[in-house]
Amino acid sequence: MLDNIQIDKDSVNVLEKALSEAIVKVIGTTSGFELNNSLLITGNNPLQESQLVGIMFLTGNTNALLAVTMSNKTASTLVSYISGIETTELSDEDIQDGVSELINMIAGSAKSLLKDTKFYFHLTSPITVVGENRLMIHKGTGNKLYKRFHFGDMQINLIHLIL
Amino acid sequence: MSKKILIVDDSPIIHILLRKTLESRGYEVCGDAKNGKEGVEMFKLLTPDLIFMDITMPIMDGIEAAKTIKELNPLAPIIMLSAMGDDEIVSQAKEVGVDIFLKKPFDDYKIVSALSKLE
Repeated sequence: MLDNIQIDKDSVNVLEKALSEAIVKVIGTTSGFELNNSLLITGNNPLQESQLVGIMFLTGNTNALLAVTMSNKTASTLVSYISGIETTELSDEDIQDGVSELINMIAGSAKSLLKDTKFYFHLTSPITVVGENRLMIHKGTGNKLYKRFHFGDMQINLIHLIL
Repeated sequence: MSKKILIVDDSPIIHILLRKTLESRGYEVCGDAKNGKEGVEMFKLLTPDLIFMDITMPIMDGIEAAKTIKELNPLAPIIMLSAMGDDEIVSQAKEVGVDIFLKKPFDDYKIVSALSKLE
Protein backbone atom coordinates (compact mmCIF):
# COMPACT_ATOMS: atom_id res chain seq x y z
CA MET A 1 0.00 0.00 0.00
CA LEU A 2 1.19 3.47 -0.90
CA ASP A 3 2.31 5.82 1.82
CA ASN A 4 -0.52 8.30 1.70
CA ILE A 5 1.67 11.17 2.78
CA GLN A 6 3.99 10.71 -0.17
CA ILE A 7 1.41 11.22 -2.92
CA ASP A 8 2.79 13.92 -5.16
CA LYS A 9 1.01 17.00 -6.47
CA ASP A 10 0.85 15.69 -10.05
CA SER A 11 -0.92 12.55 -8.88
CA VAL A 12 -3.39 14.60 -6.87
CA ASN A 13 -4.08 16.68 -9.96
CA VAL A 14 -4.79 13.51 -11.95
CA LEU A 15 -7.15 12.34 -9.25
CA GLU A 16 -8.94 15.67 -8.99
CA LYS A 17 -9.33 15.91 -12.76
CA ALA A 18 -10.79 12.41 -13.03
CA LEU A 19 -13.23 12.94 -10.17
CA SER A 20 -14.36 16.29 -11.56
CA GLU A 21 -14.81 14.83 -15.01
CA ALA A 22 -16.79 11.93 -13.57
CA ILE A 23 -19.26 14.06 -11.62
CA VAL A 24 -19.75 16.50 -14.49
CA LYS A 25 -20.39 13.64 -16.91
CA VAL A 26 -22.80 11.77 -14.65
CA ILE A 27 -24.85 14.81 -13.65
CA GLY A 28 -24.88 16.06 -17.23
CA THR A 29 -25.90 12.75 -18.78
CA THR A 30 -28.55 11.80 -16.25
CA SER A 31 -30.19 15.13 -15.53
CA GLY A 32 -29.07 17.48 -18.28
CA PHE A 33 -27.64 19.94 -15.77
CA GLU A 34 -24.25 21.37 -16.57
CA LEU A 35 -22.00 21.68 -13.56
CA ASN A 36 -19.75 24.67 -13.55
CA ASN A 37 -17.93 27.09 -11.33
CA SER A 38 -16.29 24.43 -9.25
CA LEU A 39 -14.15 25.54 -6.38
CA LEU A 40 -12.08 23.82 -3.75
CA ILE A 41 -13.61 24.06 -0.31
CA THR A 42 -11.25 24.71 2.54
CA GLY A 43 -11.87 25.01 6.21
CA ASN A 44 -15.63 24.82 6.52
CA ASN A 45 -17.51 21.64 7.17
CA PRO A 46 -18.09 20.15 3.71
CA LEU A 47 -21.39 18.69 4.87
CA GLN A 48 -22.75 22.12 5.76
CA GLU A 49 -26.23 22.67 4.26
CA SER A 50 -26.32 19.09 3.02
CA GLN A 51 -29.07 16.76 4.13
CA LEU A 52 -28.11 13.87 1.87
CA VAL A 53 -24.72 12.23 1.45
CA GLY A 54 -23.97 9.45 -1.00
CA ILE A 55 -20.85 7.48 -0.04
CA MET A 56 -18.76 4.72 -1.51
CA PHE A 57 -15.53 3.24 -0.28
CA LEU A 58 -12.81 2.73 -2.83
CA THR A 59 -10.29 -0.04 -2.18
CA GLY A 60 -7.04 -0.74 -3.93
CA ASN A 61 -3.48 0.52 -3.70
CA THR A 62 -5.01 3.63 -2.21
CA ASN A 63 -8.08 3.26 -0.02
CA ALA A 64 -10.44 6.19 -0.04
CA LEU A 65 -13.90 7.46 0.71
CA LEU A 66 -15.79 9.13 -2.09
CA ALA A 67 -18.90 11.13 -1.32
CA VAL A 68 -21.33 13.56 -2.87
CA THR A 69 -23.36 15.79 -0.62
CA MET A 70 -26.32 17.97 -1.39
CA SER A 71 -29.44 19.53 0.07
CA ASN A 72 -32.84 17.82 -0.06
CA LYS A 73 -33.93 20.40 -2.63
CA THR A 74 -30.97 19.72 -4.90
CA ALA A 75 -31.41 15.97 -4.58
CA SER A 76 -35.12 16.06 -5.38
CA THR A 77 -34.53 18.39 -8.33
CA LEU A 78 -31.84 16.11 -9.74
CA VAL A 79 -33.90 12.97 -9.24
CA SER A 80 -36.91 14.70 -10.78
CA TYR A 81 -34.94 15.58 -13.90
CA ILE A 82 -33.41 12.10 -14.06
CA SER A 83 -36.71 10.27 -13.68
CA GLY A 84 -39.14 12.68 -15.27
CA ILE A 85 -41.29 12.59 -12.13
CA GLU A 86 -42.40 15.85 -10.53
CA THR A 87 -40.61 16.63 -7.26
CA THR A 88 -43.96 16.63 -5.44
CA GLU A 89 -44.52 13.02 -6.48
CA LEU A 90 -41.14 11.72 -5.40
CA SER A 91 -40.97 9.83 -2.14
CA ASP A 92 -38.07 10.19 0.29
CA GLU A 93 -37.00 6.68 -0.72
CA ASP A 94 -36.94 7.65 -4.41
CA ILE A 95 -34.70 10.61 -3.64
CA GLN A 96 -32.39 8.64 -1.36
CA ASP A 97 -32.11 5.91 -3.98
CA GLY A 98 -31.34 8.54 -6.57
CA VAL A 99 -28.46 9.86 -4.49
CA SER A 100 -27.19 6.32 -4.02
CA GLU A 101 -27.31 5.70 -7.75
CA LEU A 102 -25.56 8.99 -8.48
CA ILE A 103 -22.57 8.19 -6.27
CA ASN A 104 -22.50 4.71 -7.79
CA MET A 105 -22.26 6.13 -11.30
CA ILE A 106 -19.78 8.85 -10.33
CA ALA A 107 -17.51 6.30 -8.70
CA GLY A 108 -17.88 3.98 -11.69
CA SER A 109 -16.98 6.75 -14.13
CA ALA A 110 -14.03 7.82 -12.02
CA LYS A 111 -12.87 4.22 -11.90
CA SER A 112 -12.74 4.05 -15.69
CA LEU A 113 -10.85 7.34 -15.89
CA LEU A 114 -8.29 6.23 -13.29
CA LYS A 115 -7.77 2.83 -14.88
CA ASP A 116 -4.03 3.05 -15.51
CA THR A 117 -3.11 5.12 -12.49
CA LYS A 118 -2.11 4.35 -8.91
CA PHE A 119 -5.61 5.37 -7.85
CA TYR A 120 -7.37 2.49 -9.62
CA PHE A 121 -9.83 0.92 -7.22
CA HIS A 122 -12.61 -1.54 -6.49
CA LEU A 123 -15.94 -0.27 -5.27
CA THR A 124 -18.10 -1.10 -2.29
CA SER A 125 -21.88 -0.81 -2.39
CA PRO A 126 -23.21 2.74 -2.11
CA ILE A 127 -24.44 4.16 1.17
CA THR A 128 -26.78 7.09 1.62
CA VAL A 129 -26.65 9.10 4.84
CA VAL A 130 -29.64 11.27 5.64
CA GLY A 131 -29.96 14.00 8.22
CA GLU A 132 -29.28 17.55 9.29
CA ASN A 133 -26.28 19.19 10.94
CA ARG A 134 -23.79 16.42 10.53
CA LEU A 135 -20.02 16.70 10.63
CA MET A 136 -17.45 14.64 8.82
CA ILE A 137 -14.29 14.35 10.90
CA HIS A 138 -11.35 12.53 9.38
CA LYS A 139 -8.23 12.23 11.49
CA GLY A 140 -6.06 10.60 8.88
CA THR A 141 -3.24 12.42 7.17
CA GLY A 142 -4.11 11.28 3.66
CA ASN A 143 -4.97 13.70 0.90
CA LYS A 144 -8.34 15.41 1.32
CA LEU A 145 -10.28 16.83 -1.58
CA TYR A 146 -13.41 18.89 -1.08
CA LYS A 147 -14.85 20.44 -4.21
CA ARG A 148 -18.08 22.34 -4.75
CA PHE A 149 -19.94 22.52 -8.06
CA HIS A 150 -22.68 24.98 -8.86
CA PHE A 151 -25.57 24.67 -11.25
CA GLY A 152 -28.36 27.20 -11.30
CA ASP A 153 -28.98 28.18 -7.71
CA MET A 154 -27.96 24.72 -6.48
CA GLN A 155 -24.70 23.15 -5.45
CA ILE A 156 -23.27 19.70 -5.02
CA ASN A 157 -20.13 18.84 -3.07
CA LEU A 158 -17.63 16.17 -3.96
CA ILE A 159 -15.45 14.71 -1.24
CA HIS A 160 -12.52 12.35 -1.66
CA LEU A 161 -10.58 11.32 1.42
CA ILE A 162 -7.60 9.03 1.22
CA LEU A 163 -7.83 6.75 4.24
CA MET B 1 -47.50 -6.60 -30.68
CA SER B 2 -44.94 -4.63 -28.68
CA LYS B 3 -41.89 -6.38 -27.30
CA LYS B 4 -41.94 -7.34 -23.63
CA ILE B 5 -39.03 -6.22 -21.53
CA LEU B 6 -37.98 -7.33 -18.06
CA ILE B 7 -35.93 -4.91 -15.95
CA VAL B 8 -33.73 -6.37 -13.21
CA ASP B 9 -32.07 -3.77 -10.99
CA ASP B 10 -32.05 -3.00 -7.26
CA SER B 11 -32.41 0.74 -7.91
CA PRO B 12 -35.99 1.98 -8.33
CA ILE B 13 -34.69 5.05 -10.13
CA ILE B 14 -33.12 2.92 -12.85
CA HIS B 15 -36.45 1.17 -13.33
CA ILE B 16 -38.18 4.52 -13.70
CA LEU B 17 -35.54 5.82 -16.10
CA LEU B 18 -35.62 2.76 -18.33
CA ARG B 19 -39.39 2.46 -18.26
CA LYS B 20 -39.75 6.09 -19.35
CA THR B 21 -37.57 5.55 -22.40
CA LEU B 22 -38.88 2.11 -23.28
CA GLU B 23 -42.59 2.91 -23.04
CA SER B 24 -42.14 6.12 -25.02
CA ARG B 25 -40.80 3.96 -27.83
CA GLY B 26 -43.60 1.45 -27.75
CA TYR B 27 -42.03 -1.29 -25.66
CA GLU B 28 -43.94 -2.97 -22.85
CA VAL B 29 -42.20 -3.34 -19.49
CA CYS B 30 -43.65 -6.66 -18.37
CA GLY B 31 -41.77 -7.00 -15.09
CA ASP B 32 -39.63 -5.22 -12.51
CA ALA B 33 -37.26 -7.35 -10.44
CA LYS B 34 -35.07 -5.96 -7.67
CA ASN B 35 -32.44 -8.71 -7.57
CA GLY B 36 -31.11 -11.50 -9.71
CA LYS B 37 -33.16 -14.23 -8.02
CA GLU B 38 -36.41 -12.36 -8.66
CA GLY B 39 -35.18 -11.69 -12.17
CA VAL B 40 -34.75 -15.39 -12.91
CA GLU B 41 -38.18 -16.20 -11.44
CA MET B 42 -39.83 -13.47 -13.48
CA PHE B 43 -38.00 -14.62 -16.59
CA LYS B 44 -39.51 -18.10 -16.21
CA LEU B 45 -42.96 -16.69 -15.52
CA LEU B 46 -43.15 -13.85 -18.03
CA THR B 47 -40.93 -15.05 -20.92
CA PRO B 48 -39.82 -11.54 -21.88
CA ASP B 49 -38.39 -10.73 -25.29
CA LEU B 50 -35.46 -8.90 -23.75
CA ILE B 51 -33.90 -8.34 -20.32
CA PHE B 52 -32.09 -5.34 -18.87
CA MET B 53 -29.94 -6.67 -16.05
CA ASP B 54 -27.87 -4.79 -13.49
CA ILE B 55 -24.72 -6.44 -12.14
CA THR B 56 -24.41 -5.44 -8.50
CA MET B 57 -27.53 -6.60 -6.68
CA PRO B 58 -28.26 -8.33 -3.38
CA ILE B 59 -29.20 -12.03 -3.07
CA MET B 60 -28.08 -12.90 -6.61
CA ASP B 61 -25.95 -10.64 -8.77
CA GLY B 62 -26.50 -9.99 -12.42
CA ILE B 63 -23.70 -12.20 -13.69
CA GLU B 64 -25.15 -15.21 -11.87
CA ALA B 65 -28.69 -14.35 -12.96
CA ALA B 66 -27.65 -13.88 -16.58
CA LYS B 67 -25.83 -17.21 -16.52
CA THR B 68 -28.93 -18.94 -15.16
CA ILE B 69 -31.20 -17.33 -17.72
CA LYS B 70 -28.88 -18.23 -20.58
CA GLU B 71 -28.89 -21.83 -19.36
CA LEU B 72 -32.68 -21.78 -19.52
CA ASN B 73 -32.72 -20.10 -22.91
CA PRO B 74 -29.41 -19.41 -24.67
CA LEU B 75 -31.19 -17.09 -27.09
CA ALA B 76 -32.66 -14.80 -24.42
CA PRO B 77 -31.30 -11.31 -25.22
CA ILE B 78 -29.68 -9.66 -22.22
CA ILE B 79 -28.45 -6.09 -21.96
CA MET B 80 -26.21 -5.79 -18.93
CA LEU B 81 -26.07 -2.52 -17.01
CA SER B 82 -23.29 -1.39 -14.76
CA ALA B 83 -21.69 1.73 -13.36
CA MET B 84 -18.39 -0.13 -13.59
CA GLY B 85 -17.13 -0.68 -17.07
CA ASP B 86 -13.84 -2.31 -16.29
CA ASP B 87 -12.45 -5.10 -18.44
CA GLU B 88 -12.93 -7.73 -15.77
CA ILE B 89 -16.65 -7.11 -15.44
CA VAL B 90 -17.18 -6.90 -19.18
CA SER B 91 -15.24 -10.11 -19.63
CA GLN B 92 -17.34 -11.91 -17.01
CA ALA B 93 -20.50 -10.67 -18.69
CA LYS B 94 -19.34 -11.92 -22.09
CA GLU B 95 -18.42 -15.29 -20.65
CA VAL B 96 -21.96 -15.90 -19.48
CA GLY B 97 -23.31 -14.86 -22.87
CA VAL B 98 -24.55 -11.33 -22.25
CA ASP B 99 -25.35 -9.71 -25.59
CA ILE B 100 -24.68 -6.05 -24.90
CA PHE B 101 -22.94 -4.20 -22.07
CA LEU B 102 -24.31 -0.76 -21.28
CA LYS B 103 -22.34 1.42 -18.91
CA LYS B 104 -24.13 3.82 -16.58
CA PRO B 105 -24.87 6.65 -16.90
CA PHE B 106 -26.80 6.05 -20.08
CA ASP B 107 -29.11 8.37 -21.93
CA ASP B 108 -32.02 7.71 -24.26
CA TYR B 109 -29.73 7.47 -27.26
CA LYS B 110 -27.60 4.73 -25.71
CA ILE B 111 -30.64 2.73 -24.65
CA VAL B 112 -32.22 2.95 -28.08
CA SER B 113 -28.92 2.17 -29.74
CA ALA B 114 -28.53 -0.95 -27.60
CA LEU B 115 -32.06 -2.09 -28.45
CA SER B 116 -31.55 -1.57 -32.16
CA LYS B 117 -28.47 -3.79 -32.10
CA LEU B 118 -30.60 -6.65 -30.87
CA GLU B 119 -33.39 -6.20 -33.41
